[in-house]
Amino acid sequence: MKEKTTYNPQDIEDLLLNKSFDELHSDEKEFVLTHVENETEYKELRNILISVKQIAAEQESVYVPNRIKEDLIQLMEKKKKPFGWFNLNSIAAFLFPSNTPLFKKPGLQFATVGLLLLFTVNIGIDFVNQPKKELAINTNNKSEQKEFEKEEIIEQEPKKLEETIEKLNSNKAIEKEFKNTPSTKETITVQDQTGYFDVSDGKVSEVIETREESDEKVNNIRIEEPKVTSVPLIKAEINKVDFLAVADVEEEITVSKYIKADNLSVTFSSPTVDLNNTVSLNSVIVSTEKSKKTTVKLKSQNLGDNSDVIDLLFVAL
Amino acid sequence: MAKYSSHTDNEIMQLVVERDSLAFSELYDRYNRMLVNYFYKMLWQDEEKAQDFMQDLFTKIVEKPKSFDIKRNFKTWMFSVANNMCKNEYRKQAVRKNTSYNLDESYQIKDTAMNAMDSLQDTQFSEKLTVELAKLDEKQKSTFVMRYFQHLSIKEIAETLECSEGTIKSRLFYTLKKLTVSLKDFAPQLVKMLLIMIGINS
Repeated sequence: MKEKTTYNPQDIEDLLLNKSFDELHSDEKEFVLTHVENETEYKELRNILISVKQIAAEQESVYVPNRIKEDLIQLMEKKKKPFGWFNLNSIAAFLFPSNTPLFKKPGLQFATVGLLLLFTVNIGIDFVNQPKKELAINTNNKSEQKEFEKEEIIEQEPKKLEETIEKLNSNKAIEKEFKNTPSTKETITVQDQTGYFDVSDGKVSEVIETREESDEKVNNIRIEEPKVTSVPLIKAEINKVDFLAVADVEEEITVSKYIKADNLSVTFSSPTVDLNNTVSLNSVIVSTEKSKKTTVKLKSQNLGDNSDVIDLLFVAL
Repeated sequence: MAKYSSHTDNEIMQLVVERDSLAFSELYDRYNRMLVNYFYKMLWQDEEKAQDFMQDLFTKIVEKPKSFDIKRNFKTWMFSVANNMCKNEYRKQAVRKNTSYNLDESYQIKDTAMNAMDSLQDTQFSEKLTVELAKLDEKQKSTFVMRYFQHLSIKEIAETLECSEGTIKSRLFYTLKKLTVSLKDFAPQLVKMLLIMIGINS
């Protein structure tokens, strides 16, 4: 049986180097002739290959100066790590390695974690600060309790005022004066920004119109520029204040009318106000807020603000 | 130097990574001539250029020893780096002159000067071989030089150029055929010389 050839086309180099064409076996010749045209070409290839190897062996003698090695060794010594010191380059190489993609670089990963921590801490600080604000509100409540106690005390004073006013009303001279002044019997209109209240004889008798939003509470009552008013009007104003506080009047209440009382001699402590026998209430403004407790507080404050007037009334009596 | 003479290339490279100067010295002694000859053959037989390129390659090893993959064979890795450096140089020369490098003239001048003392036949064959090698494309040239001038095995060349052994053998054979067409007029005389040197009278 004919043996299978064991040569690959690439193995012709071994045959060229080791055997002349005459030395080739029949199967080797068969194999060689599949790649070369004839014996002559095989000989030429062989001669060239042997010549090249000979030339290569002869030419392998390029001079290499010693300074190259010295320079390289010197460079190697410089690159040695200093003992006991941090090598910044190694840290940088660790944080930003050159062969890794951007998102895998530890430096960027650390930076991202740092930013996240920073934001988390900031949010945490804000969160911790919030309860402090609430505590501030609670502190106001404590003060409010104290003021509520004050309010009870102050509320007793209007009662005294009412008694004195009744005494005043019983005075005939005053009654005559009131008869002569038709405005006392007129309906006093208390106006907020959206509705009117009838005030008769110092009391709010009827709510003509109110706002739909009744949740808001009266929180502030302010008397502006007290100039001239009558005693019953002051009484009315006090009653009105109480009534408005209960009735949840919104926004602002303005009393635009005032009543004269000639027989009364009222002297204000304020140096800018010098009035003769007349007291006028120019306006009463009530503004609103959503806190009922605050309303109580502020109401008491406003009564406290009116203490001068109350004192004056006592003086007048 | 003898301290590391029994070490393999890869073991020495691990020591170079740890900045061992003696290990580096051993590595340099093993490969400096091989590399400078390779560059010499690949870069138009320019001795200074070959020295510079060899120094650059070792400088890279000193500065970035970790760029060497320890799983690879150091010799093939080193020749692949050298081959890439040659490719870059070819590109630079092509851009610089905007034409193909005039290899014939440069080789003739250098070889004539270098081989003045050699025999005329040797000189002629060497000159012609250099010229014909320069005419080859980059892959054929590098394969041929690695195989017959640097004596790398087929396997090592395949690893260096990252292709199969069959491809390398085939490439070598066809390169040889191409060179034979150009050099056949010089070869018979050389063969005669070789036969004389060997001591066989035909």
